[in-house]
Amino acid sequence: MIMKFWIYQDGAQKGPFTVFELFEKNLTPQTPVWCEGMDKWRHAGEVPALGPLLDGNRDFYLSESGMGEVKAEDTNLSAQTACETPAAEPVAAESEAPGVNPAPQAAAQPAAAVRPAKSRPDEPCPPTYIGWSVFLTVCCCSPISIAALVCSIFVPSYYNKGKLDKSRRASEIAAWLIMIAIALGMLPVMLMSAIF
Amino acid sequence: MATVAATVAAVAFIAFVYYTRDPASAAAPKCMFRLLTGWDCPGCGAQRALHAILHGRVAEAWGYNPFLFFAVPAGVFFIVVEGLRTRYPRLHRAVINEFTICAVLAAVLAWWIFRNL
Repeated sequence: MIMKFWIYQDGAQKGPFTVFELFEKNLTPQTPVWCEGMDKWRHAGEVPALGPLLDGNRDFYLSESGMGEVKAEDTNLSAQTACETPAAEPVAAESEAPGVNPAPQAAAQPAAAVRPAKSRPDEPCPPTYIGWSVFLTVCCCSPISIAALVCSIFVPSYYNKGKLDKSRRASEIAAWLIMIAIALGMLPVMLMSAIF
Repeated sequence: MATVAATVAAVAFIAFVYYTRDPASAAAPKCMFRLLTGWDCPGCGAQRALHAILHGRVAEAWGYNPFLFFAVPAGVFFIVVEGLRTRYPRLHRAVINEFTICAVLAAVLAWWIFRNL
């Protein structure tokens, strides 16, 4: 799978880009970057998979995985290593979030202008699992899949308001409800196939 | 690739089970909602309908549960769109949003009430 990156540059979020497209974007180690699998926006310098990019080493991506592919593991690695760093470090990185001016007058600016990457991340909407819910309404356990459908309404709703945490939470609850519905509904089918 | 293989295997297994077994028999799994309340749920009839379809009796399947003919294609479509949401974000936004999910929910509830009238 080809990883797509979003960047924050010149006061706006841009993306998705392949790693080769990023070569034309003049990234610095301080440019905020995000791709799927990363827990939050990070400076390009903190993402190991982008090291050769910052060095201008285009051949690395050609030789390593062909076709401009950056493996998901490389970016996951970055998320893990970031977790192992002392707590103070991520906090510091957060306070240096894109466009944040450490000077006091920054607080007077509109929140959206100050912290765009936090208030409206250009991250894809979390899954709603609506397809599964629709399936399960006709397969088994309709009441639970109705509850999952209600939950999934909140996923794009919160996402469009920029409340990514709540959107993710709704997505997780929907996923759990669907798994419960599958367990309650599919197990009898499996038993049936074994017994009669 | 593994996902596709697993899906094909699961569909083939379920098709085999419902082709060879008759869901109308006493041992077949029963809908919990129907046992508890006596009303049909939106999916009641799906097992018999699947059995009928696998034996080529589409009209009979429609009689058991016509909702199935809309819900299954819609479910597949939603799963595919959601699975490709990073590649086709505009399609995803157009297809899966508050309004479409509310519409789906309303359709399921309407069908649930309608079939029990």
